[in-house]
Amino acid sequence: MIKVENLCKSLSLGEQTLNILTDVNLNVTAGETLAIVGKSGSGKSTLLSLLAGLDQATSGHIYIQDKDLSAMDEDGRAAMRKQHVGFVFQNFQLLPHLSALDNVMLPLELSGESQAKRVAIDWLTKVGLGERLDHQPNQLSGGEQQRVAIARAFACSPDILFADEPTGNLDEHTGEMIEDLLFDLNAQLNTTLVLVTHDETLAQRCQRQVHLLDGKLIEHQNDTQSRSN
Amino acid sequence: MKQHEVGLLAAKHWFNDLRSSETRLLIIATLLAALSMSMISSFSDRLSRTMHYRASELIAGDVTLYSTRELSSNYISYAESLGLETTTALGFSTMAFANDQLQLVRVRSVQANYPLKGYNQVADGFYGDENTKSELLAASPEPGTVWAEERILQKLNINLGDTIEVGNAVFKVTRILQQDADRSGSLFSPFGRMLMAYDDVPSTGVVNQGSRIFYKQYYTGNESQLSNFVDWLKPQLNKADRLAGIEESQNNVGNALQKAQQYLSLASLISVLLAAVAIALCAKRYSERHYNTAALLRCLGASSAQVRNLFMYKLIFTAILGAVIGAILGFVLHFILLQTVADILPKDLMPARALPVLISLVCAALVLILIALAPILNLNQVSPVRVLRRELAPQSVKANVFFVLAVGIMLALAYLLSGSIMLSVVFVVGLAVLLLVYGVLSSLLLKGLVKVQDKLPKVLRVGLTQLDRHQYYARSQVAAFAFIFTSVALIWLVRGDLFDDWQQQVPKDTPNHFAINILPEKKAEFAQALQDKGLATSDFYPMVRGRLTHINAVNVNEIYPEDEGPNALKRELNLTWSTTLTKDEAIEAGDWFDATSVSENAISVESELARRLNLNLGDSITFNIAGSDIVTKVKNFRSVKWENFRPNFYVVFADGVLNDFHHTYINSFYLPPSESRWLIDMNQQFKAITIIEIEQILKQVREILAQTSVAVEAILALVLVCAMVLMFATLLSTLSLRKHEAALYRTFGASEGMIRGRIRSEYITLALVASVLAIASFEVISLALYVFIFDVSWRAHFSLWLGIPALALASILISGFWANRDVLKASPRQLLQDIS
Repeated sequence: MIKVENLCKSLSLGEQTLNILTDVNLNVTAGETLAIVGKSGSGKSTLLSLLAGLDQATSGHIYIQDKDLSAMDEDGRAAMRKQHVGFVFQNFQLLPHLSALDNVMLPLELSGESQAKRVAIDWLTKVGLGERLDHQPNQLSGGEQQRVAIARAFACSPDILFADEPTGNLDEHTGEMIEDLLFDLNAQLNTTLVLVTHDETLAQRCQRQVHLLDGKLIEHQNDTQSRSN
Repeated sequence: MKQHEVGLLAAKHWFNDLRSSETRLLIIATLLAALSMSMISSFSDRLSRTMHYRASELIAGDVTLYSTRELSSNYISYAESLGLETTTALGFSTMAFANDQLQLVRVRSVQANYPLKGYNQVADGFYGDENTKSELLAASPEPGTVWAEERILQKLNINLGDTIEVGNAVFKVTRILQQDADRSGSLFSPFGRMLMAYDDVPSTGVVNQGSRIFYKQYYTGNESQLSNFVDWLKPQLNKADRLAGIEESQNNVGNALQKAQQYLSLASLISVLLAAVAIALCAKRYSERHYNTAALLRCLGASSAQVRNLFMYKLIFTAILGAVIGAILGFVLHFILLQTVADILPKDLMPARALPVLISLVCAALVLILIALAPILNLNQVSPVRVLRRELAPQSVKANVFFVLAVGIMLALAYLLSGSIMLSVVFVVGLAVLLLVYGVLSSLLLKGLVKVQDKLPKVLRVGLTQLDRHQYYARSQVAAFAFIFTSVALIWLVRGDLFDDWQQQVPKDTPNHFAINILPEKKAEFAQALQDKGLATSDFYPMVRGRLTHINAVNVNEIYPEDEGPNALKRELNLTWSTTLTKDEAIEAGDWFDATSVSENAISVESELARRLNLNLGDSITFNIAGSDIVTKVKNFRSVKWENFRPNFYVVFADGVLNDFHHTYINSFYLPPSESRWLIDMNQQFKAITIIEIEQILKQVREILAQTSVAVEAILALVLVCAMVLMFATLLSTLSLRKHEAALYRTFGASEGMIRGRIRSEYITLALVASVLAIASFEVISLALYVFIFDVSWRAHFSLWLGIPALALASILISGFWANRDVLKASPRQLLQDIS
């Protein structure tokens, strides 16, 4: 599903070069759940943004469904995201002036889905917000906002779901509920899940964990525990 | 996703955006630009068309044909075949006889449908009599009757209803003619006018072969009919014929209204510019507030074209909503504005048209779209990574092209509103330079103040510290506020000067009578009579009549064949001489007369006439005066304030050149209307002198000025509203920053009172710094206006030195606290939630 070869990302800071990711290699198979863990500043979010085609690598290749992202332009990567990718963010990223329903409908409408409203209502009902379709983000709690974000992410039936610290802005109890929802839906739809977190408990729910340390990848297998989850 | 689906999605998002302050401000700014343009252009359109109509009233038709030869009846037949309405008049001078007295009169014999346009103003008694009533009649005298000017009746010592003999016929005087509908011809004719029925002329027997007669035909109809007729007629005319259109008629009323219209256009232009700057600020904030939306859309797979189109659609919806509401409101408000001057406009006022409203609508929408385009296209450059790293700002698109487009549309608007290319260029370029200078000066001023802040009061120290932390925003805000207050002060200044100018134009003791035909031997006696009566009079000006025949020894008929030359070449000019300039004249080129001027027959020519005749200093001009040619040399060009209701002349000779020619004197004086019976005695005492009363004209001008003043005040209010919107937009541009700071302060334990105090200090400092800049720039601009344009001595406007800071403090504090009400009331958690 995802194949990463010799991926490097560096930034020029005047005359100096800051290496964020160095020679990263990674394979993610279809339906697999992968956690990218590491300390703040280790390059987790940068790796996620590169895998999702949100940013361009300095060198190396990323293949999604055998298509080379580095060979695509910005619009090509956007088309790929529309077709294959869903997102859940730490700060929810809901549009403040749109209702919960409109937020979920947004990616469906961008994909030209004719039944966008029906699909969005179904998904909001699935995440337990069937009664709050017309509520705006500022009228919802943090957990509810993240549930809207999860409904939005799954609404287009993506092949891969990228999640950036999905429980990072939530209290422990709400965080656990969101984790359950995310993993349950993921299991039901057999979506490939790549999540970035520094929460060890959350990471351990994934089949596999990779650690980023100073921009380099160190891999750990965690099959047994994740399966049990 | 198809294009129409993007449009629908944009519509849905836009409806939700209507709740946001930046979208609302964009709509309000566009609305105000459209309202201002629509109101003023609808008003101006009807006013100018009405003035056009009134001008045609002054010559009793749309087009007239005057000739000293008999005009072909074919002209009338052809005109009527084109659908034009026509009438014919015959003019001649003859002696009128009554009570054993003779008086030379100018008769205009007219057909029953005279005048085609406008009215004859007539009265049923003498001027100044308590019971005398004036009325406007679109009619002419019945056969057997005449309408005569009051001075004829006074000279002949008869009353209304008495008879008067003209040649072999006897007529009853049924009305006193105050103003003939056709006002062409000199006001200063020594003979009184009389209107007579056309069919009565043969019975008088005074019009014979060899009589000095003029023939006149009047035509009226729509533009295309008139244009077809004039095209057909022109090739058939000869030098004796003179075709006149409405553009040739000029009057004092027109000048006053024209000035008012120019002022309204200028004020409207300033209000549109203020709205445009507000749009620019709101668009920038709108763009910044939508970086996340753009990033999320990109993240969710929207192509850059889809993101661009989505925001473009939203911009277009905003433009349409603001422009449509503004244009309609402007159209409605123009009725109110027009109502204030309704009394002086003709009853059959030109109907309102949709065109100015549509133009305003399109222009306002274009102003928004072109100004907001660069910031909106910036959204297209937002990287999708921003969803993870919010600090990423998009790379700015090259705004130069859009800036040029925006300047282009501002120029077009300026031209549309002012009608002057020069004024438009000066205005828009001046504005750009001004904003640039404000940017630099505000930076220098703030830096300077920060250096000496220890010596300043605490409130300013706190404010300066705040401003110094956010130098970029502080600089922009100071520049924007300085611009607002300078604009308001300038509008105020121009308004004051305009009112002063109007008041000076027709002060209380403005001469309401002209005395002409004063023989040199009667001058002293007449002056003494005026003095004995205690009347304020002008100087006595000598007057000689002469025809301009040659320019640099070339006959003017060769230079200007047919009808092409100015009117001044087609008639005798009133010439005078003088040793000094009057207070309403100024030398524009060359020098005033000196010791050598008499020997070289030097003359001073009115500058507008000089321009139309393509004259240069030193040119020789030949006048034919009483059969003698006199060759003169142009010594200087001189501006003349024609609207001052005093004797004015196109050509002034050096004292000593004309003195030996037969001449009379002219002067003007003010006689209170209640004293008008005194004129009868004067007419008896000075039979040769003709006294012309212009009180009606003055009254009309005064009424117009009073009512136009109301319109001017209304537009000032509109400018102030635009200024307030711009101010609000400016304050909102830093709202996020302020929320962020307030959230941190509140989290660290600051009370609401403390935050309020900091905001107050910041706004007070902002208001005072902007005021200093505004006062300085206002005084510099007013100095330039006074010295280079108005040519009057400059003085500092001390009242505004207090007025601007007071206005700045009040308006910035009120709108500032209103804009920041959420910052003050919300809890730290709410604030943090808001900014995240």
